[in-house]
Amino acid sequence: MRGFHFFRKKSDARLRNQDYYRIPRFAFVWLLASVVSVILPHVARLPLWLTGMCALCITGRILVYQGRMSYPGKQIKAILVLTMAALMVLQFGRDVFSTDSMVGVLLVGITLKLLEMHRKRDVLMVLYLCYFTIIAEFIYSQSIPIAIYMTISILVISSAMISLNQTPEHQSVRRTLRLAGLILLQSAPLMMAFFLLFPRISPLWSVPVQSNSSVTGLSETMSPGDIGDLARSGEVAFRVQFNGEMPPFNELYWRGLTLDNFNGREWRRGIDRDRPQRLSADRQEEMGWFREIEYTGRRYAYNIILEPTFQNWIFTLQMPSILDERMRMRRDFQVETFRRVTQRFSYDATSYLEFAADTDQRAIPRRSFSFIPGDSNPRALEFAQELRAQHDSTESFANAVLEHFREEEFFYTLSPPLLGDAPVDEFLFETREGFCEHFASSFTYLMRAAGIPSRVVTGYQGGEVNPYDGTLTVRQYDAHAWSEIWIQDRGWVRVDPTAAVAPDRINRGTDSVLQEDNNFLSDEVFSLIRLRNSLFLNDLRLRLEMIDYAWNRFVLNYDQESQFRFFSNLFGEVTRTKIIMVLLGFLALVVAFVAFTVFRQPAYSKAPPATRLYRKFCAYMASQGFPRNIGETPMDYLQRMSEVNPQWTAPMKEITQIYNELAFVNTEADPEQIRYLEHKVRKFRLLN
Amino acid sequence: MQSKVDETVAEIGKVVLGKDKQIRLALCCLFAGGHLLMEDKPGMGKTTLSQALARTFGLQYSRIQFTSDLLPADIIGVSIYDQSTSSFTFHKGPLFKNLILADEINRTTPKTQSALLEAMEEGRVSVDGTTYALPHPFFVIATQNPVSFSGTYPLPESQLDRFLMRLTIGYPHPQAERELLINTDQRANLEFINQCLSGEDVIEVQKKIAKVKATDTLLDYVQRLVAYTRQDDKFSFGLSPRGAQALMRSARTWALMHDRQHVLPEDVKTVLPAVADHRLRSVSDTSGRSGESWSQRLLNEVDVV
Repeated sequence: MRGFHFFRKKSDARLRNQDYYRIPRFAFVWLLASVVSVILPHVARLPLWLTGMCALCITGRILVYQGRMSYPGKQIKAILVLTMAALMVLQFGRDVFSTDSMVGVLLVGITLKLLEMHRKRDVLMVLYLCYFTIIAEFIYSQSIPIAIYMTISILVISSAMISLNQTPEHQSVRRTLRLAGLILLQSAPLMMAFFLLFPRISPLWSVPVQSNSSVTGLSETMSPGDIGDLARSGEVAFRVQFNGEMPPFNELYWRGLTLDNFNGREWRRGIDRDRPQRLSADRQEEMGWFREIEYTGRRYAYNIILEPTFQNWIFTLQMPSILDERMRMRRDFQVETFRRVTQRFSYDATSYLEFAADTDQRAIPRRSFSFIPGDSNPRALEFAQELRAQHDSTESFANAVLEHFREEEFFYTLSPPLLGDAPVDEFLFETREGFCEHFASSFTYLMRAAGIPSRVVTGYQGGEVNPYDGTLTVRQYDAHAWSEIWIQDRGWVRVDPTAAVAPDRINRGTDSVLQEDNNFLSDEVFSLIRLRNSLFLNDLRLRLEMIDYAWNRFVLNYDQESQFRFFSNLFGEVTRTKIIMVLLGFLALVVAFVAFTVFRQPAYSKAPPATRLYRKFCAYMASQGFPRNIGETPMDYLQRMSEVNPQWTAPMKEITQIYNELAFVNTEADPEQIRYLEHKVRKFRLLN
Repeated sequence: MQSKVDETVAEIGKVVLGKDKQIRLALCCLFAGGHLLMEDKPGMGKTTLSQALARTFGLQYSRIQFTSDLLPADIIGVSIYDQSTSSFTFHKGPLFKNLILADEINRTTPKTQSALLEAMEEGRVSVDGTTYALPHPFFVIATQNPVSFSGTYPLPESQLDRFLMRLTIGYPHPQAERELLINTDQRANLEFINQCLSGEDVIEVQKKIAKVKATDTLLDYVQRLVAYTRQDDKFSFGLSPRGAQALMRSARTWALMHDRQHVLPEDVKTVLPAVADHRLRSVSDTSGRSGESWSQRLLNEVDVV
């Protein structure tokens, strides 16, 4: 009762049994390890049935190897392929050409190929496919752990290739791994050179992935509770490296969105009146409103590596003065990119903390910035108007409102009660518990109620300084909302009502305030960041983050532009020809090195001078059409030549005898005799 | 030296006609202190040559015909209980001679083969816990039929390696064969072979071998040859260091036999087939029968200088 009826017992007529290549057992294990290591990282993303099919194919292959099952026949194979294709279409539907499905096709291909590995060529093909597929993982993640995993995986695949060509006595895991590692190491310089020099074609890597996946981050609108949700997450939003000094902590306002449209509950972005502007270093060249911003005080330059947000707006320290050409600033000071940020995005910016913008009353449309829906929050409206009547200046009114927040019993908390249809009223007069967006929203509403142009700004505030590399890491829980009010002659002024209620939030960061809150970091169950109270673990985390930052900055961030910079540092002006020359030159270097190692003669055959002279003589004879045969001794050669070409016998005999003497009789070479041989060879070449 | 060798060759040539080169190689092997294996089809003169060799050396020799029922005790000797002394006395077997002619060695069982081969390697035998030294010099000239012949137990590689040389004699030249046919009883001539050499001669030659010079250029050539057998796909395994040593020793002896104090590549080329053929096996050869073509190929593909 052995064997499956499912698979045909009779072997393929074309391929007789002896034609099958029997993979060495050792190599077979390596091969399976390679295939599994390739599939493993994708398992979480792939549909369950696909993983199941892969497992089934691998099991089938093992059974075939053990001889408990024969190779599947043509019909079975056809059925398998059709089933897979149908399942693919069913699973992915319209997305059948998405990255996920393509990776799925590759994996299915590899595992199905396992079932028809008849020849050595097939085994090699599976391994090449493994090499190819392992790269697919880079589309999804480019983190250090993945890179390490892939290196190990490549090591395993290479070991599989090596083990295919090993004799049984060489089959040890350590030996094979060591050889594979050695080969990988040898290829490292080549890899480095390609990394640095190979032309980077950006569209190739812009594979659309995760287009509809949910990413934690600020959204385009703000309603009560939105930002509080972000505090559950410890994910990195972006990392900043300052060129030089860092601004004081409580001034780290990373501006994101400007929200100026209020519907009574939710804040939205307004409509743009003016075209977004470039912010180049040479301000004189710029036209329009940007020239009217006055910068004063200290200038801060920094680089930001932004994690993918799938939005087209990015964060800058207020107020940016120089941005590179991939970015524009909108009239409301929101900075945008042309394309959505779907992968890590690195940009340089320069900002001033002190500035004056839109000081002229004509610059802003007063009415839209002080619009509130008439019937939305009546009690707050009334309160604002009463309070406004007691103060003559905008500033003193704003201060009075802040004073109100500070004096009355308002609480800064991550888990405020839910608010109904009139959130501002409910918050101000009933619940009095809220997160930054409650305060920013209410404050702005009160300002507008009193007729003061104002708006809400969302972004991040603060961050965590890594003592090891001086970078500032801004996380999702640093998300923040604040207000901006417009004051005659001063322009837009930032007012942060949260600072009035919870000054620690601004001065020391979110974690110092919310440490005890149950909802804080509730999404990060297993993350190291939860364990920040342990000194050792926190230190470890900071070090890991430093490495990660370096990886992001110097490896992942190495794009066309950095390549150009690197290139021009090395070779001056970058031209197409020069790039090609350098690449070709490098290639020539590699080829030369390989050629050198291949053709280099083993050390013991470094010929002594007499032998070299004799070889020269033989080469001359060969050029005359009388080559010495391989393996022919000098004496035999002389013998043969004297029959073919008697007139050469005498001089050749002389040369051969001297050479024989030098090479085989004397252990110590006599320089005199060598010179004599040289003379004879030269003479021979001249005379004959 | 050369004159002595020529004389010996002429003497042996009386019974083995037209096989000068094989005779010289056999002499070379014995001078080098190695054991000789002669492999050829039956009736090619293996036994005649080995007997002639024994006679010219004037050594005590015994001829052992190996058969499938021969036991180790038959060649080494047995301890027999002596009633007069009430103890066991060891009766030495035919092995305790300077020269052993082991006829058709591959017709006996591996057990007996190894008894002989142990003696060859160690130069002594152990019986019942007592070790008996074999006389010095001690040579074995073994003959065997080609492996494919029926009723043979092929010698494994490890034992083949113990023989310094393996010679094949080959069909005689037509002229020699004619002479062979004219004479009615060639074998009877064995009786008239004179002793040309002595055991002391052999020991003396062996002392001189070490003094024969081999230059770097020559050693390079030898190493290239050896490396070729190890690297090339055609061979399933290469020459062992012992094989390389055997090659050099034979080449030195060959040089000495021609009154030279230095080794020429010609010497190496001459002795190589005899020394290397039984130590090499081609990849395509599964029967363990290696042909002469392999070492010839080696010589044709490795350059001398």
